[in-house]
Amino acid sequence: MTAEAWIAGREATRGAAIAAIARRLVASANPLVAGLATDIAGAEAAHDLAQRLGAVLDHRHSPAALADLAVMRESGWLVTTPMEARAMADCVVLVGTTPPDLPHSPPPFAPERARRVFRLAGEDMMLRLGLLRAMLAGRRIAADADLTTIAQALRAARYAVICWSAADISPLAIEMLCRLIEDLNDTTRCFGLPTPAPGNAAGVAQALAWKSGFPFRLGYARGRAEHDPWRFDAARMIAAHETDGVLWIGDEAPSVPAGMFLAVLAPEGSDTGNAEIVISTATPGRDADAILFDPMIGALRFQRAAVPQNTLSPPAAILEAIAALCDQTVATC
Amino acid sequence: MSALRFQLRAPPPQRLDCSALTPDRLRGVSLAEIARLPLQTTRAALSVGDVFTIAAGDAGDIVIAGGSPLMDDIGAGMTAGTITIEGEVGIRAGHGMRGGRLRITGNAGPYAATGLLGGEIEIGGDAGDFLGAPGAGEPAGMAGGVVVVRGSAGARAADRLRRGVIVIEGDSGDTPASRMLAGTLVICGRAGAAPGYLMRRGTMFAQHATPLATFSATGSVDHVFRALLARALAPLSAKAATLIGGAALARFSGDLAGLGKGELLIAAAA
Repeated sequence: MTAEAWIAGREATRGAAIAAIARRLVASANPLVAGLATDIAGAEAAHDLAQRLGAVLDHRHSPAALADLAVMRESGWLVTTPMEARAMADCVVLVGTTPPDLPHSPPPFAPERARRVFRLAGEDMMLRLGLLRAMLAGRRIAADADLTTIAQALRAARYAVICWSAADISPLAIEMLCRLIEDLNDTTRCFGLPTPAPGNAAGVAQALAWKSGFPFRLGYARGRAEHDPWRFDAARMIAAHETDGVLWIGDEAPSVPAGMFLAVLAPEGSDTGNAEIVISTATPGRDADAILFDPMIGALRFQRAAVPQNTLSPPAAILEAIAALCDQTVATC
Repeated sequence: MSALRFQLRAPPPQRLDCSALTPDRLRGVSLAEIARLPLQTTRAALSVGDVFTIAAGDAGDIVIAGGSPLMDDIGAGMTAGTITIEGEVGIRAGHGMRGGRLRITGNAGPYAATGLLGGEIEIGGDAGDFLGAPGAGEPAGMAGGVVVVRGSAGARAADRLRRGVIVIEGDSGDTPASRMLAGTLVICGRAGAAPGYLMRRGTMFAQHATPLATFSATGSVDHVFRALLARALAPLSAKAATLIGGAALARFSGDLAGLGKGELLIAAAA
């Protein structure tokens, strides 16, 4: 059996690694709990640990997740789910290269209508989306044939869907799309379909929101929940030496500068950066039962483990064990 | 009576929340109490006395000698009096300020003048991104007051501006006046790419700018309002007054993708 924990490159017991992480995080002036590629239980446990520690919480994919969220919370949006889009859409516009293609067959719930699928990619996306919206608004404006065709199709559609990925296009382009969708709903139906950021970002954002009122980039250093998308950016904090202890959950851990503590809780085979302490975890949803955001239905869904195993604990259990030790350490000093 | 003076002892060991250092909050507070006010943003406690030496004076006239890019929220929420920072500051300088005067001799970080409601902010150096923009999750940006930046500003200056005037004497980063609702942005140098993207109403002046294809040229303007605005801004920025009150400006209306009632007034459109 292989080890499940390492301290400074040597195999260690899980208990010893958990105790060492708790000790180091309690001693940190500005601890950071980041990565957060985990299930709902893991996100809740990470939140509770951060609240006890006075730590900052950020997700590995928060730039894309917050770009979508900013449009939603600042000016609202009309979105649908992939299931609904497959069933109903008679016109699909895929913006950028990331959104996957949809079947070109007629929508099952409206079989009498053909489905037209367009992909809009290439340079100058911000301007082209602006031109498309201007054309739909009936402005006399010069635009290429592709845009003209898409504008006509969107106007003629009974149920159009526009897909994008925040990783491909700028936040202002997302806002332009969402306003365009709003405009189209004056005369027909049109919905957005954002590609969710990986690492269960949408699920983690919801869990943090029901715990604290805020999504990630959340801090508890001053005993209350504070949300600051600039100040609590994990990558920025690490680069600027604004944290001294990092607990990273999930794959793609960063390498931290010398003198900064890094512990990683991740499935075997993950990139653990230059972590001092590593604990292998089960992968929620694969080898442990989990609740995850399911992009197909646009909601949280229970997922039974495909390959159940009992040797490795899910991140939530390890985070709870660390939090319990943090309480003791705080209580005794 | 001389100013209440704070002298920075050394570069701060962490980001500071300086929102306590305003005339409103320090009036009638003893020096000993001021020294005990918390500034920390991490778990490590840090008070005013740890970071600054304090010299007694009129709390309505605060001078902070020695700035740092870690000094956040300076002048946030102030309603009266003056604050002068001899040096640079971090994020959100003058956030939600309602009145008074905030003068920063050095650079300001991102989100300066967000949610500004009144008063006057002068930034001697450059301003970061999102000057006068909405704060995180807020529906609108700056809604009153005047901001003058002597240097250049980052991206998204005057984003979703609702009221008030922002003058950038140097250049601006990309997408100035994005989503602008109303108010005035003056760029005395070169405006970054895609000015006025998603602009609804409001006015942007620029010496040099390249309007998007979703703006339409609507001739040149010589309105009376230009002379009035130039006269009003002259005491704050001679450069702005020269641009606004000077030669005829080319006018562009947009962003035609949306409402399209915004205007770009450009001296040299290319």
